[in-house]
Amino acid sequence: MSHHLDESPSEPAVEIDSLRLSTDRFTVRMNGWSVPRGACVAFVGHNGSGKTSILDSLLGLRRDAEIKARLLGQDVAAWRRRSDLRRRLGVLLQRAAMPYGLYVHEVIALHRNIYGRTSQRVLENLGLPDLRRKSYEHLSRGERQRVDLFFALAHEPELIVLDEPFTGLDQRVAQVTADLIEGLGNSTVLMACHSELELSMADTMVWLEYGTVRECGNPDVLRRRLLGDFRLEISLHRESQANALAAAIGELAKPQFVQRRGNTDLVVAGEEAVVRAVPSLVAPADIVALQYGRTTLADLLYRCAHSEALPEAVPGIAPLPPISALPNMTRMKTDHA
Amino acid sequence: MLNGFRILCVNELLSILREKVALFWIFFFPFFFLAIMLISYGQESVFGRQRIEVVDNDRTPVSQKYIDKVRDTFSSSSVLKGDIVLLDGAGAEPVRDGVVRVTIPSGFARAFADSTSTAIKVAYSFASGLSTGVAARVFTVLTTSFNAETANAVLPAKLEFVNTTRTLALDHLQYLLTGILVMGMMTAGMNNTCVGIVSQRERNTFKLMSCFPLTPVAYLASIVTARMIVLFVAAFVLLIVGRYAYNIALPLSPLQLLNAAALILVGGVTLLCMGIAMSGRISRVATAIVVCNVVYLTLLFASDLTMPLSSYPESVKPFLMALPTAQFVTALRAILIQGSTVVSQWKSLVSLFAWSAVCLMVSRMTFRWHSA
Repeated sequence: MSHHLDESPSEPAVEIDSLRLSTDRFTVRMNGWSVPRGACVAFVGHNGSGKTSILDSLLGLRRDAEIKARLLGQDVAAWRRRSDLRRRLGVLLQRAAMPYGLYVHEVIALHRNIYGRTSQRVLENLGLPDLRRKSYEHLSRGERQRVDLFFALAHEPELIVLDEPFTGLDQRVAQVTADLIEGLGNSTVLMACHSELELSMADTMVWLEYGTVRECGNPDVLRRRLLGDFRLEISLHRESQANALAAAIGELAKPQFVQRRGNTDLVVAGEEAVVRAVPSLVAPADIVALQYGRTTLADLLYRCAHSEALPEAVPGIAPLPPISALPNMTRMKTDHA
Repeated sequence: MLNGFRILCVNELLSILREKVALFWIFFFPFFFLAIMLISYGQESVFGRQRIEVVDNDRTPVSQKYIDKVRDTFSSSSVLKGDIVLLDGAGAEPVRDGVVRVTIPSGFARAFADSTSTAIKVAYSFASGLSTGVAARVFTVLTTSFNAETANAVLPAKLEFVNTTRTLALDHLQYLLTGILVMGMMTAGMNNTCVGIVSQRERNTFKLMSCFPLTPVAYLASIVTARMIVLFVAAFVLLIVGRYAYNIALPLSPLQLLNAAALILVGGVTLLCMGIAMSGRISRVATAIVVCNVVYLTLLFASDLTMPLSSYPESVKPFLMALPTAQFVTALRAILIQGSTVVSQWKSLVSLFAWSAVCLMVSRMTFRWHSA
């Protein structure tokens, strides 16, 4: 994403001195972390890893959060008190609906009324004119997401917080939305994401695991470091053959990432030589399909979504080796973007 | 097959047991309603027990025979039981609401002997409950029977019904109309506010709105104001329809409407405050509906809206009269039916303001915009 990091003023858009939030399973922690103005930060991780909790805490929506942080130079608590500050904020929350009984044209009017300006470009690009006469309650999931995105983006805010912005959107609308967000070059974007397109907009990725930052950095840099540059997707005839290959890869080839997809398919990621060696571990007659390529952000999301501590929670996925066992990998606390 | 059926049954039972609204109607409401009915109508007869005071100014065997007739009639009736209390006429207090007082005049026996006429006075408040009215009317049959038994075809004893209501009496339709008006305001003001707020909380609308450049108070105020407007319109429509479509005798002068509007404003605010207070910590609409039903039904039956307070035991009446809806409807009846001014109903107004203040304090302590 081409956000203008070099144009950012001296003061960061987001500064977290300390954040601590206890859930029933783990404690979310972030310390000494900041985001420059104009940056786009994507929080990734498995379901329930703490992405939404962190965003909600920054917005002051969690009473149980112990947080010392500033947004656009103003203390988080001040954002709760001062409605003028909130004019500079655009928010898309998960499972949060507009007031009951409104039609879309009334939602548009509400936005115009409370923010004083509504971008026609955002309105049209999200296709809201087609939805004007529909009741918000009767919209499909994707249509409702478009209306919610409109409300978050149409005043072109300085700080945008989006919780899974592309959920429910078709590919075309998702791409249009990505272009819209990228077009807001001076805005700082924080988002929880699960899709490759969302991650492709980010210049910084924060990988959360059970509330703790496991990795933080540029998504491409992390992709190469965590997965390597190359991938091989191999499809075999039988599950037993896939099991045997997975075991052989783990012992001999030492790739950076091995992922079971379905019963008979594996994705292996790593350095080119390692990946190319994998087919030799299996009889050619057992191979149904073989595909070489570059690792993608989708592979990275796949990797980040599968926590090592709860492998049984994801059916069909083989347990991953512990992170410390992976080659060329070191644990990072926080890597300032 | 059977195993699948068993699992489905168990799941269905669990879903019923987890559904608060269903549990309310199945396991709470019947007992609540039974309790109300038992309080109101007693356990021995359809109309429960009725206090009947008898003042015997004649003190002759004939008057004693009449009293015995009264005792027999009210002890053998399966419809209405009577507690007969003999009073000394000279020191008797004024007739209380819900009591029938029968006064046998001096010269009662002589009238029977001379075949002349004598009047038994039956005094009760015409505004009392149904059982009091029924008890008073039983005396018509009872006295006719007594005349027939004692004086053959001659009818010396006649009845004189006296209304002891100190203010202008309400007829049944006026009573119902004013009660239903407050009932409607409870629905729009209290229940709808409570469920509406909880619904917004459950849908995370408040959470989302708190990120907009709006003050939460402004949003809450908009909810309250909108409902206040609805309350006013609903009350006005009901009064007009009651007066002109159902032809209920309601003297609607502009001055009375103005006084009523002022009272409806105060009463409406109280009901809205109650709705906000009730919604304070509830995070699920199903729970809110149960809470609203409990409060709504209690007030509906126990605050003189649809069942007169005279039906209740003396010991609980002061508590029931202190309920906000009882204060509201009492003042409303005084203004709309008896032509009082809103200022003259200052006791009710003070009570309504006090209820509003208490509810606002509770709201301040308990209210949450969202569950997180």
